Amino acid sequence: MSPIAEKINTILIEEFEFSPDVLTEDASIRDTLELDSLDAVDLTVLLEEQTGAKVDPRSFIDLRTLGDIHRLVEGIVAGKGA
Amino acid sequence: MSIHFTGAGIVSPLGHSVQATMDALEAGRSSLERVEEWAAVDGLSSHVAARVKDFDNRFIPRKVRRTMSKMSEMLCKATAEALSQANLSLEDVEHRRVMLLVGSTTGSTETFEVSFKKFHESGSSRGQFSTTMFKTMNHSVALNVASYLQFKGTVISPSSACSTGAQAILLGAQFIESGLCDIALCGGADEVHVGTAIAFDTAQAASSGFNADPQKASRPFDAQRDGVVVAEGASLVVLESADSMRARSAQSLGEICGWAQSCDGGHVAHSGADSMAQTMRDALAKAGLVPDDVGYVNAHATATRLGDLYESQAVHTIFGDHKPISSLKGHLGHSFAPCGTMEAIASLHMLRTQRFLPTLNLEEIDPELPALGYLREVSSFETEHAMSNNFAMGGMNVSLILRAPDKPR
Repeated sequence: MSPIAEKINTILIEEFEFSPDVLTEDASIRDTLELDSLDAVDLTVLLEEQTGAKVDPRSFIDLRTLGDIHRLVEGIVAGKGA
Repeated sequence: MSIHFTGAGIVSPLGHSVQATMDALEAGRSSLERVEEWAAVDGLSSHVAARVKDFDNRFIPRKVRRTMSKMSEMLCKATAEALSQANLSLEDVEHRRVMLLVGSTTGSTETFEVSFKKFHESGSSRGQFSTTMFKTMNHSVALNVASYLQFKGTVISPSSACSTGAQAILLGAQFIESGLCDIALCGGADEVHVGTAIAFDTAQAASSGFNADPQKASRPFDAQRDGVVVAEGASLVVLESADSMRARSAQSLGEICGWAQSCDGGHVAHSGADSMAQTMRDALAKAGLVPDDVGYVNAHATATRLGDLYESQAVHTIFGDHKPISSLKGHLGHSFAPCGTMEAIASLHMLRTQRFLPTLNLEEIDPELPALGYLREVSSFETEHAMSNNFAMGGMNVSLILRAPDKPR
């Protein structure tokens, strides 16, 4: 798991109180994690605070799984560093 | 029509339940403590508060809790306790004719602080949490308790600072009496923030002379009293029509048999004795009682110089020289929105046990106050009725008259 994915999972465990067991790559954002638009905003705020990645919460709309979130943020961080 | 209390819940600095709070009150414990970080605030002279410690909010699911500040979490706890005592399930609350009447003085000041601090530091709207709005709205406690209960009935969020809880009870009684509902969940909550201490300190209404001996700082009716000690907590009662209570075979904790509210319309910072007395008189008339029928007065008395003076003058006008009276602010400080509900619950407890609590820290009765039966120790006597008063900024007067359940224990 990449450092960014680990950071995202840590936020989900510490701030959103998820058990590490449910944080699989294919965990459904809507059905398993039950993250909604309010959660998406707060997750992006915490991500920006902790990684510097500026993620538009509207970009979460088309994502389906936790792995999709990992890849989205990894891409943004990589782009920022490039 | 008789209207009964069938459930009660409290989260206070003295305990996280009615029983724990009552036990501490009977033991004469104070919840006041020195707040070191306030002592470091330039210009702030009041360094004492009563705060709810070790509060475990994990009974509320994360998805529901995310929009709550501490005041809503505490009120959910008090609500759960009250519903449990009333033997009301969530299904009962959904399917019976229930109204929810809960409020606070403001939304969460701490959440406002975090939000504004971010904005002022960055000059940007980025970094704001989506849940800030739900924690800071004026009806934050109402929307959050409703969410916790998955409540679908009528919700009203009264807000009149120190009178909020008492006003919620009054409104609940009026709505039940009018036939608009059978059950009313009535309460209030507030959380401590340094801003509240600053506000009262600036208005020269906060205690500052007992920072080194904080448990002595709140001293209603005492000659050395020097102001309010800010506090926090939550409380809620279940009010219910007699018909509904009997149909459910629920147990009465006592009745609300009289109530009145008014606005002083005078000085914005406090009510005068005349309007306080008129409110008490109106509550007695509503109950169909005369002053001698009421054996105990639970005073609002927050330990300010003028507030205690005017209230004692008003009580003296109505009840004469000897009426037993006490204030619980010495034990609990001043929690604002929940204090009225909390004090009504304590008064019902006193009526049931026929043991009446004293004013803590009342060491020397202020000679400027009129003669009254100021309680200075737990006192046992028989009475069927108590009056509970609350008076808020802006002249918001509320008097409630409570009746013991049929068979005092």
